[in-house]
Amino acid sequence: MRAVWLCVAVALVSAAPCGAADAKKAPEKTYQIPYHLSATKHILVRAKINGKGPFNLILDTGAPVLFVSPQVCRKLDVEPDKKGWGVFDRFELEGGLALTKAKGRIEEPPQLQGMNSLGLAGAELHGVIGYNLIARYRVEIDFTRSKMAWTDLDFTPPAPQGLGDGRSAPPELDAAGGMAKLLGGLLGKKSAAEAAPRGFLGLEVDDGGGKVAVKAVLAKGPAGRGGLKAGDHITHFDGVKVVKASDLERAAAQLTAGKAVKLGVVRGGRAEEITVTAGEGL
Amino acid sequence: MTRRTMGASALVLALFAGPALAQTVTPAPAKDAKPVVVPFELLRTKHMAVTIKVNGKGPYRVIFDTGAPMTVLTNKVAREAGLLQGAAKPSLNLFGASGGPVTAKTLEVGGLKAENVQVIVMDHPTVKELALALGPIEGIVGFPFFARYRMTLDYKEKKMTFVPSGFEPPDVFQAMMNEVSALTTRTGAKAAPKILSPAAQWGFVPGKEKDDDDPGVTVKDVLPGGAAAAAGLRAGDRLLMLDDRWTDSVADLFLAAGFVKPGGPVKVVIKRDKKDVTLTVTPRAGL
Repeated sequence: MRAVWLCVAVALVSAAPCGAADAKKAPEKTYQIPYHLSATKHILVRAKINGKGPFNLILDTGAPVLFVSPQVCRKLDVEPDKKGWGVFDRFELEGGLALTKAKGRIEEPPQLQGMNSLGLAGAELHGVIGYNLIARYRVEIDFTRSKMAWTDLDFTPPAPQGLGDGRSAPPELDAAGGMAKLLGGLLGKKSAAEAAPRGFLGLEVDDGGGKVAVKAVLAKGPAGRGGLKAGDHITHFDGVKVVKASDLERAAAQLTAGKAVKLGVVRGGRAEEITVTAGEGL
Repeated sequence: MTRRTMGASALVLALFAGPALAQTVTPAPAKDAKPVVVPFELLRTKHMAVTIKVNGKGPYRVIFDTGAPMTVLTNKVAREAGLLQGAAKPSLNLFGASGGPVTAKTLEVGGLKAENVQVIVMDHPTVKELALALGPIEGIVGFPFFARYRMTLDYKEKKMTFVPSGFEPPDVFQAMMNEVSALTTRTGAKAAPKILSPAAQWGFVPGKEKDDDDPGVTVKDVLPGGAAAAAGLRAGDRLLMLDDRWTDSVADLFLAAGFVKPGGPVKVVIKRDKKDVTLTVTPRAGL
């Protein structure tokens, strides 16, 4: 009650309502944070730490704090303190959200260790973004969009307390991480999946009328050099029948630069075959 | 499934703090769907705890975990909610795990009710440990549940908001099992590289030398008549970001381009003459 009266008194003096602090607040800042779903359906975001990276981090409300793996910290020359914490001078998330002096554990949780050694996620995982960072934002996740929306809440979350024994993972899970590492070692799988860009043809398609019509051909691109012309209809890709643009995309999904493909086309009512050697580019 | 893959799968489940799986029913992305607000309890460890009912049984307190690809419930819940009727017996019993996913007819989280949710029955070590310190906790709710919704997390207000998004979560368990059997059968063989496909045609050629550690990739060539040329991209530009994603390698550039569908104008940030320049590119349908 006393607080209320005090508030009223202040209000009278300052001629401002008690809730004025809210009204004056700057408009909330919202960041569009790109993410992708790993093969294991973890939400992966990328961060540059002290200008290095990008590193792959899992968005995980099941983690109390930010975790960054010791290997990454060695690269960054960030040393853990006696209790295993590190301070990252500049922590920047893809999408433009930058923090200074972000605090986190220098540690690789057993789940990460296990997934990395079995190569399950399809990308090397360097850490975990947990409560102490997520809680500063209102986070909207929608898997029909390629970005999340993070709105700054101007909120400093209270520090998490552990279970009291100073360990971050139950011993059985530590053991599971170790077993996975052993298994991964025996099987010789690495965590960073090799990726290759798809080959480039340089043709524009018009989807409709049950045909894949070539709308335009980039004259200096592979299809242009191979003799494909605007107005051609593509009927086959390396012998695979295509009737929609999505068929063509699927048929070309494993195409890499340097590979020659035979395009079945109909030009002026006549069926022809054109060979195109895929190039680099997109 | 061999005994070996079974063992590996149980191990994988353990690592995932919450395996979950295929959803057979997805809520329609109803335009008039009202957001459902679910308050949560913030545990001392800063885990989010929510109250659920499984097949109408409960309530049970569980952890809500965006880092869990699957939903895990304890054997106690499985017994009470009749989850294991007709389920296969595991050949290797690690953490009391069920042999594979089972289906909960209904899973209610606060006032939100989902049907046919895949669940792994397992006494997960993390759950056991938390329950020991913080009182009853009977599992973890993960991806197969929350992926169906546009979800907003707000720790300041201690609430989550859900609206059906129409997204159909893929079968995580099946995908994982495929990975595991590939692991055990393909010993020594080199996996084929994953091909990164752009979702649209841009009309330029990127490149990056092996010893080039600077941010971005170099634009080696811009094809006349293409989308990139129309937006003003030039050979020699250094491409730093495409649609807010960093493009520090050719692979990263292709990954970023995989998210951009034809027709959507997107921002491309380049460095030209030591200055950052933002171009707007409208990629086209093609390849």
